Amino acid sequence: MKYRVSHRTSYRYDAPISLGYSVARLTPRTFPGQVCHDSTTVIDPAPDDRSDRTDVFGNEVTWFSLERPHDHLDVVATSEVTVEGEPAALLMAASQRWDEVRDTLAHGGSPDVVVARSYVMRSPLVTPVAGLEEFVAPSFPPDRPLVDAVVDLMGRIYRDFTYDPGFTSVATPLSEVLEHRRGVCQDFAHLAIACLRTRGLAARYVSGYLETIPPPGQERLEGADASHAWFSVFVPEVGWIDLDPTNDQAVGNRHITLGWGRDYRDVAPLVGVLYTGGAGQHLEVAVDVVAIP
Amino acid sequence: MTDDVTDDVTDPTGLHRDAAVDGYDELTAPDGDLRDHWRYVIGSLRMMGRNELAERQADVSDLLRRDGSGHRRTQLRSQAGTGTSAVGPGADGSVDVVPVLVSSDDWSEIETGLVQRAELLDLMLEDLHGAQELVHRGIVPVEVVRRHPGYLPAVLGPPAGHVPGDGRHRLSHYSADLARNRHGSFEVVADHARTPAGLGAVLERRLALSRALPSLFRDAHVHRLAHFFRGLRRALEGLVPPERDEARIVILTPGSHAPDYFEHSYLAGYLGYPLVEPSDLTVRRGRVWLRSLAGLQQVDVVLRWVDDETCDPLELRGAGPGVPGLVEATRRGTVVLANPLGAASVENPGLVPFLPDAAEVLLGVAPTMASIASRWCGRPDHLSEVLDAFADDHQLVLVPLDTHSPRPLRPASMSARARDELAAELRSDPGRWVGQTLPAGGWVPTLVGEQIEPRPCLIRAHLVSRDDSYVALPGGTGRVPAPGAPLLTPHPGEAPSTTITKDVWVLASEPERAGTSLLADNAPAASSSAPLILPSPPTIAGSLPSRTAENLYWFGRHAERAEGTIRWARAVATRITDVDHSEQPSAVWVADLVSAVRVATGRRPSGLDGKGRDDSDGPTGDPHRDLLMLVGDPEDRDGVVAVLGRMGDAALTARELLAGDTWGVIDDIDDATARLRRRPPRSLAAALPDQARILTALSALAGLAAESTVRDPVWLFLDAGRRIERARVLAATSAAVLVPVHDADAQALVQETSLIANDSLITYRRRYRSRLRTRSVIELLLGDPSNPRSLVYQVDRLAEHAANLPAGDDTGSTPEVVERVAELASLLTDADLDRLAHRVVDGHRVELDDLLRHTGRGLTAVGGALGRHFLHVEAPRAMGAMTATGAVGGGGR
Repeated sequence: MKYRVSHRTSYRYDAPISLGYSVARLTPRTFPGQVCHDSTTVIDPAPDDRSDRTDVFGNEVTWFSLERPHDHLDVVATSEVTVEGEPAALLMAASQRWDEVRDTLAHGGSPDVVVARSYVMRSPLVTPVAGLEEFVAPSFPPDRPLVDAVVDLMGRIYRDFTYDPGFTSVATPLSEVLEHRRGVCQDFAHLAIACLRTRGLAARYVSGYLETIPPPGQERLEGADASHAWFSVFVPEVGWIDLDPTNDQAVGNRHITLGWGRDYRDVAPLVGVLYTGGAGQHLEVAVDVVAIP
Repeated sequence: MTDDVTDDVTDPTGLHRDAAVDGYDELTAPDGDLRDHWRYVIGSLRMMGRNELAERQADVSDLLRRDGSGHRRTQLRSQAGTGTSAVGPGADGSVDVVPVLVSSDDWSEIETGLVQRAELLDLMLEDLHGAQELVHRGIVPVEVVRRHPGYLPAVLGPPAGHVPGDGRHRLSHYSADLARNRHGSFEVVADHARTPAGLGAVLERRLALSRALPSLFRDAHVHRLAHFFRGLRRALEGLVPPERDEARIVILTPGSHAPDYFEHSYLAGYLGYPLVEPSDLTVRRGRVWLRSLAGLQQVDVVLRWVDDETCDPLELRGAGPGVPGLVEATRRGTVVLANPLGAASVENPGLVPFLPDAAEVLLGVAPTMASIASRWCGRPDHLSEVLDAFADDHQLVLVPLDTHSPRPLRPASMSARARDELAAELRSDPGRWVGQTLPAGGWVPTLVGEQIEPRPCLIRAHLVSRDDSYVALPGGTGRVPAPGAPLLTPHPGEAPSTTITKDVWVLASEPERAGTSLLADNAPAASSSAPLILPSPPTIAGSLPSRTAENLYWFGRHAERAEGTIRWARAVATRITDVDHSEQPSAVWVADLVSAVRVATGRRPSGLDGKGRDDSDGPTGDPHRDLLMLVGDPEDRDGVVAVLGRMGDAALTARELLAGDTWGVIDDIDDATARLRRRPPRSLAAALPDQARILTALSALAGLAAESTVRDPVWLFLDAGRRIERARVLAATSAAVLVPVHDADAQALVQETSLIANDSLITYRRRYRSRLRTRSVIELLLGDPSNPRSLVYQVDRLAEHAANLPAGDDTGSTPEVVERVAELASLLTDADLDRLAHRVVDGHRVELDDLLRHTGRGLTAVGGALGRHFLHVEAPRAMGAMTATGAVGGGGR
């Protein structure tokens, strides 16, 4: 499937900003299963300084600064991406038991296992919280195949948790998500990652988009899409398998990947620091994912 | 010195206290003889005897206190709590007059071992943030690297301008804590690479000890330190990109609230680099700039005392403002941090068990210096070894590797229950823990009370990069923990006063040429000729942070405000105590005098606010009580104690720029205000002696400023603050006491008080030789340009300062300051003395009133214009972020 993704982030400030610095991760990466043909990130006002690089996780990063007073910031990323989902990976992985995978991760020495091992450890936003153990245990009885266990865990998150965009913010800790059984896709991805890491498994956070299909009889609304997030679990000799707990499904060819990291902080689409005397800032995000021939 | 004294092991002087040595005895060899390198020093100390040694100890403490180690340092430490990490030896408790001696043989063993270790850690830093060969070859477990907070994915990858294997060091400096084991070999207890913590304190301590024990220090053949600091300067200059002609190197401190701020300031003063805070730096066009008085100036090298995480709020996530964009600038290589971001990753205690293997891979040899026995519990065999030793081994401590400066835990001294809980924690997350076996330490003679006894000692050594190797500072900090405490650098949260620190004397095998100086210049003399008299002194405006200039200005203002308040309060207190109220029908003039003191502090005269309502802190009708509040009440925000506190705060941020003896005077003032805080005086009479002492100290400050400050921007802002404040006090107090007309007797009393408060009575008597006449008082206090306490004198000085304001700042406020001062001057030029003195309406000298009002407003305008001269910076804040709320597709919810 080929898509055109446009992601617009708009800030309006009540008082002029004298200086602003930002880091954007809005360029989809290319890897087996996805090709990014073209991607541009347009910044208005035109930045006084800008540089593009690839970070430690392999994600494309744009650093820019606005060094003159400004009262707005618009960042528009437009990309054309082809996605070829590989559901076959799930079947290939079906035979490995989760406790075997855990042991391989603990003792194995192959290069991909060494890299994966760093996704077993806690990260700034994914730390052990009370109640997690009780939640995760039922999905991981001894000897259960890894894929069964993870798909079961995903299904339980989907069924037990309420999708509630009003409940969480960027700063909502995992403990509250777990306690109130509410959250959004970012929280569900973090929750699944935390669960897998308690079992000694390697899990990473994936930032991206999902093509939405309007309910029957309704037209697709422009800009109604949003940033999306899911998680990925490592299976030795197979690789990383992406699962979307918000929609209880394996990631297929309707998911477009921007990048991945240990948690949201490593792949936040746009962060910034600014200098201003005023208080107010208004933020709007519009995302469009459109299938193209 | 004679041989029979030095060889006398039995010590008839009673200087030594008997105490068992549970480690390596540094003083006495197993055969009972003194070790050779101790003979001379211990012999000399014995010849001094207990009393003299106690006096020398007092000298050391006093010298350090007067250098700034007194009240304010204690205060900083007590405020700091547990939040900060980089606590250097400067933040410790008392400094021992007895040094630690290290023989030249021992020192060469230490230096060789540490140079090799620095080279190893330097290569490891490059590897951990680059190719990660050590991880991929299985030499170092990836968990150990990744769980340590010093490992920073945001900076992973070599910064631009750094070619792997180019032979240049990543670590410009490196420090290590060392201790001897029972057999006398040195072991590395901890590695430090984030900041050169301790380096400034070494200098302060050495200076104090060499002054307190001058002849002992001279004759003991102690290695000098200056050479090392020249090396540090050379190392920093070597980091400057070659295309830059004129390098700017700065020292970055978290700020004057940091517990070891004095050390930062001391080192900055010693090396001659500007001391800057994060808000003084800004990133533009990918480069780092200093917000200086002369506008933005590019910075090439930053010697930092700021932790990695707090360097850049955009890409690193620590608390504190930081410098947004700093990481990007280092990535582009436009600025070099010493040490670079990520350097803390080699402080990781979890790496220690793997260092020998890493050395084989990276250096091709085994390390010559051992580390303390360390076990990373992520390895099952190490975990069981640690758990086996849990209950019995008192030298075993456990540290989590995911925390900077963790508080070490000692399972053997815990309750059985706490120990079990800790063991359970280890089992549930073993990869988080490192078990270390602390060495017994070398036990060194230490002055405890009036006697010397052996105590275990930890030594911090410092190295700096030179060419393709490192050199060690021949000296360092000895640290003696409180009895029973582990032999480790005190945790930031612990009460530091329990540790004793010591100067480390490395003894030269032969006398070293004395008098090496940091500034020594070995370049051949130039053959050209030059006039003696400097045509135009070099400007320092480009190196003076704008914030520092502002603090100098406020230092001047607060000092003058405190002085004005005390002078007025003293003069008025003396006057109203002289008179008997019951016989004074016109006691209204008493109220005028109290008003004068009130306005000197910056309050409104009457206590009535603009709408005629009573102010809560208005006068009570009891003049004694009102005055007492202003001079003696530590809680009063306008009172002398509060103003002096603000003065000291401002001085602190510019400490390294102030004349050398300034800090001793400020410490005396802090002493006096501390007394007032402890025991607020109950009466004016009781308050006055302290006030007199403070006044003397303030005069000393003014004298130091006038006589020991080069006439550069530092002087300009310091003096401009003083002039503005003196003029303000003068205008406001004159409005209170010279404007109202009283009967002749009352008028004479009031005007005489005003002359006393302005230190002008003697001049008045000598010059006018007559009874007090209003016209002459006004002439002397307001219009006499030769009287340094007159209004016109202050305005003249302000005009000079305005003309000398550094040009080239991008605020464009210089012309405004000049204009406002000129307006002020013309007010005075245009005034007519006779009309000021004699035009009276409703019992008020209306023209005088008018002039003083306008003067007050004019001064506010000058202050405002000067304020705009400083580049004010808001704190950076985070841009709002949008949650990935998630697209819900495929018929979801």
